[in-house]
Amino acid sequence: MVETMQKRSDPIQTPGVAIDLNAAWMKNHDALAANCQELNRAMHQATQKVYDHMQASLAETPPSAGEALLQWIQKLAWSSRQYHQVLSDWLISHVDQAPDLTPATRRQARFWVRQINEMIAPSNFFWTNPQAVQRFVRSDGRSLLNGWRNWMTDLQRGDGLLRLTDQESFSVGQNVATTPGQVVYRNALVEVIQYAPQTERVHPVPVVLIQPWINKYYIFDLTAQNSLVRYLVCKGFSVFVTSWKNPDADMRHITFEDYMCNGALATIQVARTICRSPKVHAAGYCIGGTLLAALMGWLAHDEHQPVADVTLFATMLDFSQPGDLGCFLTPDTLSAIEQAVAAKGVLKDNLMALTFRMLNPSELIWRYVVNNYFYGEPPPRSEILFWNSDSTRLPEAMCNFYLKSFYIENRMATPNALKVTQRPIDLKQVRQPHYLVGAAKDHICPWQATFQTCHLVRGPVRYILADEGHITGFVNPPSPWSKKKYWAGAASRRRDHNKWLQRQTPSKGSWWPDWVAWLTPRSGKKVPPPSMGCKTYPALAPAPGTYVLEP
Amino acid sequence: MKVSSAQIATGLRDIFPECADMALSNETILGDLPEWDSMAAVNLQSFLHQAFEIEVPLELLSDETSIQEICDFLVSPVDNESAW
Repeated sequence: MVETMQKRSDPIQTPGVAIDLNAAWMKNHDALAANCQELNRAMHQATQKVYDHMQASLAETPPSAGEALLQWIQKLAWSSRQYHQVLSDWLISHVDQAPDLTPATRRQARFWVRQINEMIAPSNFFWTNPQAVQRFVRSDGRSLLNGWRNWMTDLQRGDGLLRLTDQESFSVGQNVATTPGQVVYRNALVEVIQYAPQTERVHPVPVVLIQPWINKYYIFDLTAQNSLVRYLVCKGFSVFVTSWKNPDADMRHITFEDYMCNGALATIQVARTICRSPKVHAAGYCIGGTLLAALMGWLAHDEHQPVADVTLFATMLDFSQPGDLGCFLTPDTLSAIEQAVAAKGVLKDNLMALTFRMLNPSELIWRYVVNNYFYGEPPPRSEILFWNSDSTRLPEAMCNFYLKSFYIENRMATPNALKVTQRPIDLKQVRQPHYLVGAAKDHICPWQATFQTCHLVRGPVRYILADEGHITGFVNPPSPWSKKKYWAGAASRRRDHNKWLQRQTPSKGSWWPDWVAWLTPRSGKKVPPPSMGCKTYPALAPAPGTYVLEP
Repeated sequence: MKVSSAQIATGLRDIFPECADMALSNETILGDLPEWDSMAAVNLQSFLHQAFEIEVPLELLSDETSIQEICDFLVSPVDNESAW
């Protein structure tokens, strides 16, 4: 009874993790005493350092009272950083050295300690952030007044989130998602966009991009400078993209199978018909990639294969090591999520957004607390953050199935453990060539987990490791100024990501040209471009269509 | 346009209060900054746009990019599409 109440009141079990951590240390008093002594010693050392720093600066004479205040604040901030560093290091070691913790509990404890460490960073407090005080003094207090207004605006919006970007600077169809195209198919779940050719001749095999429906589709088509769609059409490819409907409670019964059959498979059918091509290049990003992989396992039962090859961007198929997201997704948290989703019919967009922000709190929470509230500045202008803030909802049936089957039970990684429309999914039957892209600093789909796909599928695999995060590793256009790098090489049936990486040499720049070089020999001799739409699938509306504009 | 590394250093200290104690020079690389990661690059890109009205491509802002290289770009920016 008590346990049930505890789970209901604390679905993410932070106190439970703290209790487990404490209990682990209590079993070993001597180690705990030594650990606490270490904290004491480090604090003493920091105090000595602070004392010496203060003594050395006593002789300095500030030119004015205002400057004296700022200098004092800078010293206070410096001192706070010394203590914060000591405490942060100790808290991490307190978790890492705790005896006899289960790996899952240790991972959860490490996650929450990181949240605490980043929350209590001195820069997140007004009097220990010299830049905040300086702006306050120089603006006669207006910075903090503006910050107050920013805070009130966020509170009045009522979604529990702070603004990441200047929403007024971007408009879908105006300065993001602007590559010319037509919606050529629409059902209750998806719009399919066909992009207009930019070259006189195109490859006969089209590229179909399956978008993750956790955000809107235009991650594939941000600005003209960094649009993957634009890049592909400039290279002579016909490109089709899924633009999913943002579901409301009426769509609560939409399943993962619906997304697969009425979404991904329907889009492939549209592209094949318009381009008169028996096969397509299919590519999916994140959950869009997971959907595509499930579809490939499903199609493996058929004789005719409509997909020539598969590209998966930042996609997990083996969810046994899902990174920090695993801290939120346990059988108990799933039960709480299911209850919340049942009440609304959908998983709310702000809940998902907050979860993803907590995976990188310093960059997606605290930086904006300082900028928006302490500096009183508007949030930055960034098309990536604009897209990132344009979250969507997930329908109940699909959400519950996805979280349980993949994150909790990891069914995709075991042959025939996952069934979709009664067909068992065995990735070992998928023989098409695969192009896999992971990102070295990905907080959402760790590249080590995405690498496991290499041995899950039977087809030959080329793996790319981009040296960036989940979004910036993907939005990765070629540029003469590019300082990015990536590793690329054959990885068929490989399991050990470290061994694979040791054998690769890094390449400078974007991996997009490498992908095009991989696709081109599989794409046939160029032909005149297809019409925009066809008799079966006529053009319905100009891109970006209507679904992407729905709130 | 003339761009000094001091202007960029001011912005970096704003975005990264934790690097207040660091000496920032032309040779400082972004990977040296505490908490530097790809989303920090998005913030730096935004600061540079506000300060200099030039869209610096995210591709330039990596761990290994020096402050001098950012200055060089701001003096003579290049459009990405010309590289396609």
